[in-house]
Amino acid sequence: MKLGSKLVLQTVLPAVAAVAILLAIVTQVTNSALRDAAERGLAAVAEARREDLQNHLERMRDDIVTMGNAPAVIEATRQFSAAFAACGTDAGTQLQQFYDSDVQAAGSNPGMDLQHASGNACRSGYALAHAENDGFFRKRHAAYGWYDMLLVDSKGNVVYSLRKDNDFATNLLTGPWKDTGLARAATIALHRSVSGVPAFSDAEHYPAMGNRPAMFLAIPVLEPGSGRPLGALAVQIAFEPLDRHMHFKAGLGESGEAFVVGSGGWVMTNSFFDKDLTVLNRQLKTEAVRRVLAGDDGSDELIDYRGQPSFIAYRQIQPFPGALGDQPRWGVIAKISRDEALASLYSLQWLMLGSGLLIALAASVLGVIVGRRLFQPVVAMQGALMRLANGEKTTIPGLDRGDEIGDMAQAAEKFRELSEAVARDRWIHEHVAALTTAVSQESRLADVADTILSHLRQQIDAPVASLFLRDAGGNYQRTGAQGLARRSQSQDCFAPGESLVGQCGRDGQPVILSPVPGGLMLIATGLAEFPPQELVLYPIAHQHRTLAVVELASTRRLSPDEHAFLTALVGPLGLHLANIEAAERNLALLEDSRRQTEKLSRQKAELGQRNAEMQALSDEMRGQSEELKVQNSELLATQEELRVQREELAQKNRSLEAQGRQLELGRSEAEARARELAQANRYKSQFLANMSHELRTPLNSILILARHLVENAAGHLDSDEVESAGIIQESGSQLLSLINDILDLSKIEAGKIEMLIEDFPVPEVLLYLQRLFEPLAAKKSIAFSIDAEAASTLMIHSDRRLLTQVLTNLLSNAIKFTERGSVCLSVRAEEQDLRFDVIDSGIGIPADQIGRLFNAFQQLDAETTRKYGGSGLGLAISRKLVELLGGEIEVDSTLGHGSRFSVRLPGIIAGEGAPTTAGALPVTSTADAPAGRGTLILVVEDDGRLVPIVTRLIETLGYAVLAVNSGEKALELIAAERPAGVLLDLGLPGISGLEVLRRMKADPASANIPVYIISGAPDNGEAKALGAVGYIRKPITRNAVLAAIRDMLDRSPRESASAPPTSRPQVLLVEDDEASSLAVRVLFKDTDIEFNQQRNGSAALAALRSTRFDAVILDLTLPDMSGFEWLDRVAVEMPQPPPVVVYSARDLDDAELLRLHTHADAVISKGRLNGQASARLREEVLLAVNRQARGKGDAPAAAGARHGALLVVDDDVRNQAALSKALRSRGYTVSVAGSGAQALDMLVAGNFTAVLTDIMMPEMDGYELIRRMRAGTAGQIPIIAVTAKAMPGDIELCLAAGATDYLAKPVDIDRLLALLEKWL
Amino acid sequence: MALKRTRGGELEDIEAELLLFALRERYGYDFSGYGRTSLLRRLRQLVEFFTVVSLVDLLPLLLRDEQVAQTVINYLSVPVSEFFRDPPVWKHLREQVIPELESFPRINVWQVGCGYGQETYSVAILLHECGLAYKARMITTDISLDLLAAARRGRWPAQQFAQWQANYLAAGGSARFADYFDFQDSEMAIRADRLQPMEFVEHNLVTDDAFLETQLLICRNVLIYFGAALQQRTLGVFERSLQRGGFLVLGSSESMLDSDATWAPVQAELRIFRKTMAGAR
Repeated sequence: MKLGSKLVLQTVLPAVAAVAILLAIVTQVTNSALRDAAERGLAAVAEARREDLQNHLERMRDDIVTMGNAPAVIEATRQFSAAFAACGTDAGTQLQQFYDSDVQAAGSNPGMDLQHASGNACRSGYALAHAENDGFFRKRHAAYGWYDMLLVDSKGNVVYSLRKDNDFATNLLTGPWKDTGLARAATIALHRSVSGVPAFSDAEHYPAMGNRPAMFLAIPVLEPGSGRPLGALAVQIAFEPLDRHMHFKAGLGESGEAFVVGSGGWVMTNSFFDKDLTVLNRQLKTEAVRRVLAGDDGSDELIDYRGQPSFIAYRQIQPFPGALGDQPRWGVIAKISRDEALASLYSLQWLMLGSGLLIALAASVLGVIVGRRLFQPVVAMQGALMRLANGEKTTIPGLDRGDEIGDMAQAAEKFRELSEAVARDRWIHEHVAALTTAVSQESRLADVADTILSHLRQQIDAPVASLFLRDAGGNYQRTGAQGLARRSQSQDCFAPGESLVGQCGRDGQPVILSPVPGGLMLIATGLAEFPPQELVLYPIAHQHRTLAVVELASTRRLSPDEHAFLTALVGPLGLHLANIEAAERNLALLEDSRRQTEKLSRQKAELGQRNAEMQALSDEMRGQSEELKVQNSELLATQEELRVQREELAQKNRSLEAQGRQLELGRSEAEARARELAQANRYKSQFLANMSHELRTPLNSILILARHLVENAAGHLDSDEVESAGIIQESGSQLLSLINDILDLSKIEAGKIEMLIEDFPVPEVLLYLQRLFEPLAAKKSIAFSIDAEAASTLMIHSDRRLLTQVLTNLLSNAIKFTERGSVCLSVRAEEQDLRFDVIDSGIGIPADQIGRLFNAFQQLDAETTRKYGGSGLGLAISRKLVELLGGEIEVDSTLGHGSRFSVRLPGIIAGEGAPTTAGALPVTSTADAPAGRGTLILVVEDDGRLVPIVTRLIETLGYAVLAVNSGEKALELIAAERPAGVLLDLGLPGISGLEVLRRMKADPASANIPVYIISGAPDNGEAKALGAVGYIRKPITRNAVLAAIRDMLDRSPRESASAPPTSRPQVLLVEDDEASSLAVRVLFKDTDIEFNQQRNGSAALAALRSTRFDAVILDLTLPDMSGFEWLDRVAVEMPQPPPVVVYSARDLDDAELLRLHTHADAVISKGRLNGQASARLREEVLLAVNRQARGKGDAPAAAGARHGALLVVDDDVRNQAALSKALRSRGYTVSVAGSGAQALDMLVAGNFTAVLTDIMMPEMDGYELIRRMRAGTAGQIPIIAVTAKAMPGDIELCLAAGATDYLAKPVDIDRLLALLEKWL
Repeated sequence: MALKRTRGGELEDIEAELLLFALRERYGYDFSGYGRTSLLRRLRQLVEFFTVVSLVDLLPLLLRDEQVAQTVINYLSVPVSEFFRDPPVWKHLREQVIPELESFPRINVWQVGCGYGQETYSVAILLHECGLAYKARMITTDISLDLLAAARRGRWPAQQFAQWQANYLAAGGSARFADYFDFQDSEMAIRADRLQPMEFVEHNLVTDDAFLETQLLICRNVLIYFGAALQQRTLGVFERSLQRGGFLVLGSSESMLDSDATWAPVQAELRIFRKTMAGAR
């Protein structure tokens, strides 16, 4: 900012500031004073209004109290009550009609009352009372200004009303107005009557008067003396007096007003400014109202109900403070608009503002004029200094002045001189520096001369210039010349001291010729020639050696400045020239040495290379020879080893073959015999079955008929005939028993006895025997006892029925052959056996006959038979049975002294009193043909230890098995026996396992027989390529063999024809990236898989249509479609696509995974870590290829859509895929939700017939989901919980949550289908 | 008939049988398949713990009080665990198994027997450090609700920190082990926010079946408490749960009952097995 303006500003600003501060202070003071005054005035107004109101209300209370005690009122109450009572029950109606129609019309003429009432006792009585008292009340009305006055009798009837409105003659306790303010006040006056205490009801809309606002005071009217309530006097308070009090405008100005608000902020007075009635019509919710109704007094600047900023004073008031009934809080509010109250302040402010501006203006004008005069010379000097600073030449003004400005001018003059000197020095330095810089960039002396000369000619006006450099001989040689007129004029080389140049060079002092004598025309243009005015020679020296001389010719005399410049120049130039000279010398030397070095290094490199080649050659040769040596020795060792092995093998083979032949011979013989035996057995069984039927049927008829005859019920037969019939019956019975025995025996021999081996307590059997034989023994008068003390609690593991049969047999024999004495059964345990002894004191057995005692059809002798009867088969049967049970039977007898038959049975169980219902184990006799005997498995294995293990294993599975130890025999047997499956070892003596396999497959007769390979070597895929269906790696496990046999039997009968003789497995590789595709091929290099690569989706689809592939490797990102889309299209096009292995680097989300799982066999992510994804790819592809090669035809029969839509909720992608696949194939439409939340959304959107939900899911578990489904849209559709949890409580939890049914994991699809059938 | 004499040991057997019967019938926890000797030892400890005279005295408490039952169940399914226990196993998991696992699009990890959570968080740390957490889901199961709650809390006394850190380093851990914990007073608490979310679920190997397809199943030192039949059943559950090519890690003194074609030993002495391709889906 300029000093002048600053001065003006400094003069004016304080004046303006002073005025402004004054204005602010005055405004502030005035403002607060005015506000105070306004608020105080308003507060006074409000207080005055409140007092007015309070006085008005107090007077009203005094008036009504006075009236309540007035004898006239008491008398009037009595009279009206009586008259009203006289009218009876319809008093109300009558009086209403009377006063409505007539009295009102006639005004208040008491005479009319009487005339009109004369017709009716009620009306006339009432009219009498009315005439007497009405005048009194009208006078009081005029005096007190009530709106209405009412008398209420003690029963609550309004017996008198001045105005006779709708409330007249009604009952306030029960009538239509019982809920009004009047009723409230009157009721209090009647029921809680205290003399001189009125009851008040606050202003509210009064329905009896067309909902106009009304408020009431009521006071009890008491009987003088007794104080008994006669009734009550009620007055309706008029609102107009309130208005009058409030409309008194003193102190409120133009915009001010005062009003009363009642409870709820309803206005109680009419507004001065409003044409409409506002009483109880306007409700105010302003801050002032809120405060006053909260009981505050005060005044403040607030926004009034019209939204204008105002000063508002408010005073709370309690109408009728001592009264009963309503005790509302009212407020008196006085307000005045702020603008009006502060109007004088505003005018003062304008005045002050105006005068302040005037002062400021005057001060500014004055300041400008004074400032101008003071600063003119200063400004002039400032201009001069500025010019000086810019480098212009100038004079300083005011040097002659005697005042401070003159001093300042002197100082400025000194400064001017100094600055000019500095400028000159700078000019010299700049140009010296420019020249030396230019020179320093030159590296050759020859160039330097030109540079120096052109620079000098530019700086100094010298048209002709020349530079003489000292050469090696010390002479000064002209090296550069510019502007020379004639070359011949001048000499080029000067010895030191020769001419001025040589002199200047020798002395090292400048030579100046001025003026140039002789008028030499040294300076020439094309047209003219001029003599120079001045000729100068300057030496350029370094370390007191003059290196060069520069000569200049100028058309004018050079200025001192220019001479100073030249003098300053020579030093630095000398240094640079010396440097350049030295550098030139060095450069030459350097160049020489560099050339030599290069030559050397080239030679050295050639040498090194030749050396390295020799070294490498020798290393290689040494390595090769060593390798050869090692290989040679290894080869020798291997050969030796092989030879030994071969010999050993041949030896072993020969002996094994011999053994095998023998074994085979014996075995086939035994087998033939076994077959014959089995055949015979079969015939026998058939025969027996026929016989038992054929014999028993007629015999049964005979026995029944014979019994009928013996009974002779009709009495036709004589005694002989009855006896004959008896004989027929007895003989028949014997015959039947014989036949039974024979059949029994035959059955046992044929192995047809069904046994039921179980744990049962021996005493049970004994008890049965006791019951059976005690009566028989008693009949023959022989003693019978069972001695089983020790065995009383024994359990046995045996067949209960057969044991009982044996013992029954023995005991019945004993009793049969005993005439006197006793028969005793003793039971005791002997180690693990149970021993039964049947001891009798019968006839005994001759020693020579004991041996054949147990043979069938052989009894003691004919005599015995005759005497005792019986078939003689009992003992034979008993022995067979005991043997069947694994025990033995023996006899010990002395003729004439009795016998002892002993039975030993195994299977004691040391159970003491345990329950008898131990698990029963049904067993068929071992003689019975095992199931599936017809299916023969051939084991081709030369390992003698392994064969029995495998064959036993297969036998226990119930299949016939043959084992051979060589390929030749295997082929023979396969041709002869046509086994159902072959387990084939690869390492066989003679022809190898693979050769066996090849020949089998080559022969159409045996090509269909499934073959499993057993081998100690890892599977290289070759066997499968040849047609083997599976590969078991040694060591063999039971499960592996089991699985193999099942697999072979599954495919054995039917598979045959369709087995495709594909040479190599075909895999479709859908991959567009060549590197990946190569990686995959390398991965499978050692397999025989043939790859067909397709680079986009459509080509892959086409390939899939034309060729049958065993597997597909699919990349998900294809150029023309996504892998998902590709899979979907394959699924649409092909019913049974080959297994697909997805091999992708993509990250997959749940939905994508599910989509893949439905169509793809496996998903493999190429990892980011140094992963082994490729290993798994290999495994999965080989698995798929193998499965594809054998599996087929297990496609689920897709039934037509039968059922509704199912929602499967599971967080596990595998379960989702498995369940939906299984259910879809059964004709269900299946949707899948991966979480509870998703399921709920889908339920809202879709229509499902049932829901299957997993229980263990994150976030929302199955229980919660079921509960929400039940509470929400699912309604009552079946919900089946699928849970891995199986504890009792878990099932209950499912059902309690609302599940219809529940299913345990792992899910049995058949059971799931059954459940769905059940609930759908 | 005379009464049978019983010896002391037999009496204990009967009592144990009764107790186990009660547990099974009343609460559905079946320990009858558990190894008999260790079970009896635990039951004896229970008698001392509840200061009763014999196991039968425990019966009424057990039948009426679920709190007691929970205590008994916890006692019987003893948790012994530490971070990266048997470091060679973890080292092998980190270096050999994890890279193989990566070829699965999802990695569901089922860790059986939560102990106090050390092993669970060890697995989580391993997955976190190997960068597989983004596609892994971790489910830890146990039959004891109390233990599950304790494991979820993830707080342990800090005295063992040095030992655990040594384990972690020996197992090939490369980060600062202490960074996984907040230390307060004498306690260390896992900073679960650094790891992926984990699920703690009640699951009973005696009765419950597989619930999810898993790729890594860690069940260490649980089978040793099981009898042969229960072990067989459990392995069946595991077989159903694991995807083919997935891994099963057992405890150091546990082994497959017989060499089943389903399980191929990956590192037999570390008890790491792989479900073979021969095993059905």
